[in-house]
Amino acid sequence: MLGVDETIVQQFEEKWQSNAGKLLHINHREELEDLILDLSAADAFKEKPIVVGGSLGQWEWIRTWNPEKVSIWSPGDDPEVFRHQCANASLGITGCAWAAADAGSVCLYSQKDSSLLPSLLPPIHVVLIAKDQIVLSFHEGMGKLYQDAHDQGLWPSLVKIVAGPSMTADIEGQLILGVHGPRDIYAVIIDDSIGIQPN
Amino acid sequence: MAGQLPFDERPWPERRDAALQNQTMRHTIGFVTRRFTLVKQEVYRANPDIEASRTVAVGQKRKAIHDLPELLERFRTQVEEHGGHTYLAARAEDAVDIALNIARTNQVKSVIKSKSMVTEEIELNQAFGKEGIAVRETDLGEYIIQLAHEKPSHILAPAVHRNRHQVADLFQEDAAQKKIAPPHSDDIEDLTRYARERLRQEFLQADMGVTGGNFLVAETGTLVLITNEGNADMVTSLPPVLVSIVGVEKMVENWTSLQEIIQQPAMSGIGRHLSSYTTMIHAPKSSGSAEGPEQWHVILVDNGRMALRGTKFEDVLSCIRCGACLNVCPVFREVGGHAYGSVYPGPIGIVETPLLTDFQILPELPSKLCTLCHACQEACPMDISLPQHIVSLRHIVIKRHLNSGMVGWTLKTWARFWGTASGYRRSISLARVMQRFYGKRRNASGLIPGMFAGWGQTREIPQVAPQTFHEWWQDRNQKGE
Ligand code: SF4
Repeated sequence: MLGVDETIVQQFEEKWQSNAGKLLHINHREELEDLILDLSAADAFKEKPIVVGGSLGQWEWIRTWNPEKVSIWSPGDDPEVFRHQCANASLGITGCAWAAADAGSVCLYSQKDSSLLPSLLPPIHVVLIAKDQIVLSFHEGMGKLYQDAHDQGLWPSLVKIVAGPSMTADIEGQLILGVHGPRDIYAVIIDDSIGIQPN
Repeated sequence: MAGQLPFDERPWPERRDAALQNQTMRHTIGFVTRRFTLVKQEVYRANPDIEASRTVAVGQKRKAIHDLPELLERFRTQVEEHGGHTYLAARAEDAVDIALNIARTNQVKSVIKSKSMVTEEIELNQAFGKEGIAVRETDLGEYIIQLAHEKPSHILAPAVHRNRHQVADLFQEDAAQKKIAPPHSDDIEDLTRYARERLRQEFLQADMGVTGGNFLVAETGTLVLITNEGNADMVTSLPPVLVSIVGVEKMVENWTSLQEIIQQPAMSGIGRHLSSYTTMIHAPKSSGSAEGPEQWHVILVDNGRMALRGTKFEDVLSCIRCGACLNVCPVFREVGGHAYGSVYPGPIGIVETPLLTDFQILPELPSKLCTLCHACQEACPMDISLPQHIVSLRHIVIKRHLNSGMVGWTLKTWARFWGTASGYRRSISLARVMQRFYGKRRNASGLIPGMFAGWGQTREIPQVAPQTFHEWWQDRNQKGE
């Protein structure tokens, strides 16, 4: 991608990892496919182990890629069914609206065509980030959120900013990951948009 | 109008002694508060630009408090336009009634709740309990103290006074009651795992969710919630009815103000740029969406807050509950939150508790639980003049004769003696006589009989010299003549 400031990407990566987030670079669609299958331990599962929040942008191909293993939210689906699928899944995948380098955070919107549940209920969350979605500061990202809402004339009913896995230090001050939300959270940074287009 | 706050009815000496004898609590609270303080200093040192943001945030927050009535109206209009419902509760009991009515109307049987100090303040759980509605705290620390029937001991880390073995015992008991598998061991990882599984089912089944709120944005009608565990995300996404109970002072004017202030709680509280989860609720679920509540109710709680506007204590309403003042306070570090006897402990607690209730409860807090070391002033990201307020509150306590009779008498007698030079001299001669009477002891605690005796328990009181400086000086002058 042209015009992407690599130092911003690098800053995001450092900060994300210092927030206990995990990081992966993907160059090819196959790499992402393998990653998803590995992380979700898909082989061991009878039910669909992978849930996807919808609104995938350039990752739309995930919809048709492996329907036996993957459930994807689409507007008009039964929310009860999708919630049940998320509660039983081993891996949730979402895109994001923007990511902030200085805070090491990603921002997700809940809208008709995108659900936050895959980022919340399964023990692992994979968030797909295109490099040009990364802004320098959280402050700037918040400005973008406001602008997006104005441009669309609609605020997302829920907005969620994630800056690390679910954590607690409530017992003896010891840090433990994965108390209610995901224990592992992977930022997958797509390095090369050509490689992930459908074959 | 004065607000109502629950309080611990044990007198201060009893609360103090209980705290000082609880070694587990003192160890953990000392460790946690020192660590929070260190990481906070570190994040400010490494990010000098936060300071500029903080200063702007303070100015904007002060202005929001000044314009609060108007901003509340704007906020309410916005939320209602998006399909939410808003209520203004003048007193704690009004807020409880409103929440109960919503629960009754929706035939709610079970409630899940994310951490909220204001619901502690209005004693929501107790009221729901009486009505036969089960309320489940889902913040891990809150869940622990709920099982133990205790109150939070720190506003950020409510169960900081319990160690893993005590938590394991509580969970074992809970598992036996529920007939489910207990935690595998006393290991903190296993205990957390138990809570995750145990609470997950309740999240998925609850009829109603209750949250507090960290910020309200008047311009956009947005409620912002900050957690590290992700439980507020569960509460806002899963149950069909959501009730957010928030103090009116959480208001900021617009999105720009939110941008400046939103990172302050995490920066000052836990030394991070952001907590793991920041959730913003803007409206109930729109049809066709996967998650979110069908009904969203926002109860804005006054309970003594509005009355502080226009007084010299107005800046107290800027508090963002970051906990930084608790973490640096030498008194808090020793006694922990329970000794305060109020929902709000630490420096901000000893200021807010008497102010919100117009001194109806715990008027002793400003005098007893502060050394005036000013550490809180330095720590507070919102520049609240905590030490100055504490001194003013002490004045008010004296003026309104709110000290216990004995304390008032003691201080008056003391002042009578030490208010003049001759009185002071007389007191010294008297002390010398008493010293002879009680015999010479290294620690002259025996010198302070009756109501003064408590002093001698914790202080080494020097012996009165056979000749004071004044006497020596007079002697010398006379001899010189
Ligand atoms: S008074 Fe200041 S330091 Fe204390 S909790 Fe409030 S904002 Fe934080």
